[in-house]
Parts: sequence; C-alpha cells; structure tokens
Amino acid sequence: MTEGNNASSSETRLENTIVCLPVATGSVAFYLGNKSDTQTHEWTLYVRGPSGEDLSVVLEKVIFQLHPSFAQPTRELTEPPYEVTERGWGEFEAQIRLIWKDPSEQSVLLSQPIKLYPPGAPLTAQQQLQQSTETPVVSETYDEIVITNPTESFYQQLQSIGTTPSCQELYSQHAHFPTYSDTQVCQAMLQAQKLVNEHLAQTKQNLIQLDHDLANVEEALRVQQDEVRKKAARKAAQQPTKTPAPTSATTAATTSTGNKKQKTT
Amino acid sequence: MTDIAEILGVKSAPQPIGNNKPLLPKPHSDLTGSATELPTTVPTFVRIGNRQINPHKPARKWTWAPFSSSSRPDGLLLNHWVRANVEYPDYPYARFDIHLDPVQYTIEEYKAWLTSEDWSQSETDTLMEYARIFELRWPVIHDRWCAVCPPRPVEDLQHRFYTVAAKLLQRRVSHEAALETKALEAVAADSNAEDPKLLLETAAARSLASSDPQHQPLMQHLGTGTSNKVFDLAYEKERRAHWEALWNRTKEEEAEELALRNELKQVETQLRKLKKRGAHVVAANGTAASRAATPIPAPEVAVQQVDQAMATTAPTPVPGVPYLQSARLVLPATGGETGISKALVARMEALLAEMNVPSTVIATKRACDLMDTVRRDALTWLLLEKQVIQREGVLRARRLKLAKMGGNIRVVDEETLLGIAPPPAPRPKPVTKAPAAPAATAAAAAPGKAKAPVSKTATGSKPAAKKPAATASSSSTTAASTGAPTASTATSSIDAKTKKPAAKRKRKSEDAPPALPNAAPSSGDVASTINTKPKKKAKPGTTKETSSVSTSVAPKAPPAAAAPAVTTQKENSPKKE
Repeated sequence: MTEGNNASSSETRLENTIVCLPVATGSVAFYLGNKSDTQTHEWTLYVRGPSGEDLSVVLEKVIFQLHPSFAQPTRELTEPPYEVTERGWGEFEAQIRLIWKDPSEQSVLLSQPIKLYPPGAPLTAQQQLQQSTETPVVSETYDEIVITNPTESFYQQLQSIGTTPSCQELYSQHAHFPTYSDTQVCQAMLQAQKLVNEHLAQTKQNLIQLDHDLANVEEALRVQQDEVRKKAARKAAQQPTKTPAPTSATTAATTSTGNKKQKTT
Repeated sequence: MTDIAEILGVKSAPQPIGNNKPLLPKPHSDLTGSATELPTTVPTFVRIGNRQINPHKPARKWTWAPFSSSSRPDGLLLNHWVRANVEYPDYPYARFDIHLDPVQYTIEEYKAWLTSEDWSQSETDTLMEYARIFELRWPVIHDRWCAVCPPRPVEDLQHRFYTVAAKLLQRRVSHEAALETKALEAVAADSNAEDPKLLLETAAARSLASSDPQHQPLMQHLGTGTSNKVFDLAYEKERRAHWEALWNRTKEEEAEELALRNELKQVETQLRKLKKRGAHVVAANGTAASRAATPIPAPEVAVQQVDQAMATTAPTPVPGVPYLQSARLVLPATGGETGISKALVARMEALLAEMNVPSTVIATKRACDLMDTVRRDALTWLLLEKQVIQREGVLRARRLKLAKMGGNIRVVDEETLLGIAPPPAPRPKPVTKAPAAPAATAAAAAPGKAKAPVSKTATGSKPAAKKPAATASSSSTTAASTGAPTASTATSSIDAKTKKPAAKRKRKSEDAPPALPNAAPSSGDVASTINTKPKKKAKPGTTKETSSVSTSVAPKAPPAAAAPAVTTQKENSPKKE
C-alpha cells in the first residue's frame, strides 16, 4: 500500500493541463402529508455526473455531512449512487466532501442546501395545507471541478469517465433530474463581447486622437510661453538702455510673424 | 350661562332684581370705550423688572456735582449727577487707564549699545516717544512718523524699536546677573554651606552673566510689551509682501489659483492611487515623446489594472488543489489596492444586464471563460472612457490657456456654436491632416455628454482616404441619430447653415468639382470641415454644423448654392443607413 502511495505521489504530473470535471449536487424533497410534525418531508441529497457519468472512476469516496440533529450525520459512500435519503422537517446546508482516487489531489468541499419548500416567500397557512405529495421540490447546483496538472494515471481515469455507461438509473430520484445547456448563455455573451469590443476599439481610437491633439496643444503652448518670456526679457533689457529699442521691436515682430507662419502651414 | 341653564332645564340661582344701573353718576374721566369698564385702583406696589418699589418711602437724593479723574493730568473739573450722600474717592473708570511702561535709556547706554548707521539719535528718541504715546499702535505710529520725519516703512520702525528694547533688556539682565553672582558668591563664601538651592542660583546667575547676550533664554518684559529677542525684519518684510500680493490679487488670478489647486489635488490623488498599486513607474514612462510613436500606455495600463483586479478574486490554479469553476464567476475586488471602484463594477454589471447577459451563468468552462472576457472588456472599456473624458477636459483647459496667451488657436465657445455671436471670418482653404485616424465620435455613444460640440470637434474625423471619411460621416450621422432620424438631421445640418458658412460650403464644393458625383469625397469635405487642429483656425461654420446636428436648431431655407452638397449628403445618409 505504501509503495502504491509512493508511486502515485512521485508520479510526474502533466504540464499545462486543465481538466474540468462537471458535477451536479442537489436535493429532491417530497412532502409527506400531515402525518407527523417532525417528519414532514422526505428528501434525498446526492452528487451525480450531470449527464449520468459514473464518477466512481475518479472518486474514492463521497462524505455527506448532515445537520447534527440527524443520527450519524457523517455518511460515507464509496460507490454510486452517491445519495442520502432522510426524513425531516428543516432546511439546512449540507457539506459534501469528494475524496479523489489520487491521494495527491486535495479533497473538494461542496456546499448544498436542502430545500424542502419551493423558493420565494414562505408559504401561507393555506398553501401549506395544499402541498402536494407528488411534486417534489428540486434544487440542484451545476459546477465543474477544475483539476490543474493532474498526474498521468489520474488524467487517464478522468478521460475514461465519458466511456463508462451511464449510472443515472441507479439514483432513486433520477426522474426529477434537470438537464443543463449553456449554449444560450454563451450566445448572449458572444454578442455582448462583440458589442463591447466595438466600443473598446472606438474608445481606443478616441484616446489616440486625444493624445495627439494634446501633444500638439502642449507644443503650441510651450512655444507661446517661450515667446512671452523672450518678450518680457527683451522689455526688461530695453528699459535701462533706450537705443536697442527699434531693432528689438523689429526682431520681435519678425519672430512673431515667423511663428505665425509656422503655425499656419 | 342662563341659556345653558335653560337648555338643561335647570333652575339657576335667583337673580338680583332690578337693573344694574349705578347709584351715582360716573365721574368724568379720560377713559373711553372698553377702558371705562376697568376699575380704577391705586396700585400698592410698583414693580420695575424684578424689583419692587415701595412708593411710600421717599426718593433717593442725587446732586449735580463736579468731579475730576486721577487719570487726567490736567485736573479738569466736570459735573455729573451723583448720589447725594455717597463718597466717591475717584472717578470709577480711572482704573482702566493703563499704559505700557516706557522703554528708556540714558545717553551713555545709547552711545554704548544702541548706535546704528541708519538711525540717528534724534530719530530713535522720536520713535521711542511715539511708541510710548501711542502705546505701540504701529499704524498710528507709522502715520505720525511719516508726517514728521523722512518716511520709513512700518516694519523698519518696528524693527528699530524692538531692537533697542531687546538690546537694553539683554544688557540690563547681564548686568544684574553679574551683580547677583557677586552677591551670591559672597554669601556662599560666608556661609560655606552646601545648600543646593544656593548653588543652583549662583550657577544660574553666573551663566547668565558670562554668556553672550544673544544666547540668553527668552525673557519677556511684560510691562513694556517687549522681550530680549530681536524682531525678525526679513520675515516681517516677506510676510507683508505676501500679504500685499494676496490683497492685490485680481479675480482672474484667484480663479486661476483655485483651478490650479483643484488640479493639484486631482493629480495627487491619482499619484497616490498609482503608488499604492506600484504602477507609478509605468505611468511615468508614458511621456509625450513616446506617446505618438510607441503603443499607447493608457489602454495597457487599463488592461493591467483590470487584470490585477480580476486576479484578486479569481482562483489560482495549483497542481493538487482542484477548485470550482463557479469560483471564477466572483466579481473583481474593489477598493484601494485595485484601481477599480465599486461604482465602476456596478456600471459594468449594468452594462452587461443591458446586453442581456445574466449576472451568474452556469459554471461550464466556456461559459466562465466568456464571462471572464466579457467582464474584462467591459471594465477596460469603462476605464478608458473615463480617461477619455479626463483628457478631453485637460485638452479644453489647455486650448483655453493657449487662446488666452494669444496663440494661433481659435477656441470656439458655445455662443458662436449656437449662432448667437457672429462667427469670425473663415479661412480660405480646408487643411488635410496626414495621420488618417478615423476617430469616430464615440463620445456620443457615452451617455449624456453636455459639452458635445467642443468634444466632437476635438475628436473630429480627419479626411485622407474615402473610407475614413465615410465612416466619419456615418458616425456623425449616427451621433445625430440619438433621438432624431438620420435623414432629417442630415438635412437640418445643411439647413441650419447660415449664409456665410453656406458661401464657404459653396467654395468647398467648387474646390472638389470632379469628385462631386461620388458621394464620399464631398462628405469627406464635410468631414474635413469638422476638422479643428489647434494650430489652424477652427472653422466655426462647420462646428456650427455639428453642434446644430446635436442641438437640432430649427431649419432655415437652404441657399441654392448648397443644393449639390445637400443632395450628395442626402445621398450619403441613406447609403449609410
């Protein structure tokens, strides 16, 4: 055993590999009628592959952690169907821990609330009486577990999931399992992305233009400031000595017209 | 009362018989009307405030008596009302007549310590006298001085007075300290006791006596209002100069100063933010020289910012630690470390919601990837938009400054744009600009920009090739289409031209006759007239056109000369639609 462990821990990991393992956790709850106060609902908490895949290839075991008010709140399952059925009256959050066949991979903790009542406002007294015992309350969460750079053997196991036959039928509540599709959402996002990119391109062009304009104006400003400074210096030089006045005036005139000519081109 | 009794059916108390006529006729009185009903009684007590006066007691006696005040030097006698039998030792307000102790020196002291090159002894004496008379009220002293002696600024007078006082005090303190050392040493020699207090006193006295007068500790001579530290003339001159400058600021200067302060505040906050993220080095590299040539740092900086922000909340892939795909859907962190504010993230969310993207998607890989990219792009775009607005503001400010300094820039203000003030004479030739950046008026896409006209001209399209011009005109029409259909705005844009700009347009259409049948170049011309380069004079007529497009001025009859241009423009706009 230890050798086995050693072998897997020293096994080289693949590089630049990401494996996404889809997983669905949920609860299906049935109303039992008015028989008792403490057991108003029967619910099933489960972990499954969303398209019915058999996850036991990669999962060592699944540990369900229920509310402490239940007898033996820690339930371990080592093979599908990974589900726990109980009777109770209260909604709570159950923790599900997935232990991988590869010991070098950390276990993953999922949190799944048990929903006994349909979502929305709490039921009125009338609605409570009218609860049907046939239609369940299903609350499922789709998620994917992202495994980075798995070991070779683990990678093989993950790849083999699709090839095993579906074990959906094993689950007691498989009739109520929802199906998932992300095509619509992806389409919407693609369109949104296109739009945003258009805006982005436009804004980038704007920015280029603005920077250009700004550079030009800064240049002109600098030239102007230099001119002003030169004029001031010339005036200061003029005052003590009167003779260079006409020449400096003409030079000032020529430089200013020269500048103007520059700017008009 | 009686009617109530009637209503209730209760028998009231027996009423007196007879009418209420008084037995005696009323004496004549000045009271009339309702006052006649009031009883006239003589009050037993008079109340003033909260004191009661007993009228039966006799009144106090007051006499008109002469008085003099001890504070008067001349013994003038005046009269006033005083209580008859009370002794007044002195005028009661004489105690408020307080004076500062005069600063006095002997001629020997003056010759020894107080001579100065700028001040003669007579001037110093006059100054001391004034200081004493006017109680160190410097504006008055200065005024009286200037009337009598050659004028000096008030800080010079202050400096002279306080220097004299300080030197006197220093010397006198040293002198007294020397005397005291001698006395104490004599006592110590006599008693020969190791009294610590005595030793301390001797030590203190000796140090004061031996040290340089300048190094004495600060001692204030409260009686004269002076101390042994010399008045700082340089500081005082500077302070007064500052104060004068502050007082003589014009309104424009004040406004400019305020604007500069605000700018400084903004720059400092930006710098602080950048420093927090450690990005100030990046920002510093984006100088004006590199801006034109190298890729723009601004979008890169924005992208970096967004990446940093998203990285704070995204899970990092670690081998051996699997994470959930849904963890990638968490919103980027907001706050000080990242440049992303909560408001920005909120705007991004709103933007995505507008585009029918739900806030949380199913956690598949491609959905998460897409969500990531869409959010990043949206955030980057919003950041860049902010920068565009900032830069537009800066550009506007710089242009105004340049115009004020008399540079060759025509800053078009709102009035000329709206046709209120007459537009200035237009320049003869439209100028084409080399870099064909088809910067569309994406500013119009941003919601509600008030300064649309100026910003549009700033980001106006440059004509070089047909394609950019076409896009420019299309963008100008799309810009106009915020609210009004494109065709009508195109016509109104032409219609709203007054005669002068219409004449100009005519010239332009003449300039490009061979290209007339083709829509693009004339629209290119139209686009070119939107051009405003800072070094050239802007064309207010065409800026009017864009502004009228945005403000939808009522259409005026188009002159016939503009007809070909009109048709081409109309041709152009349906094409673009």
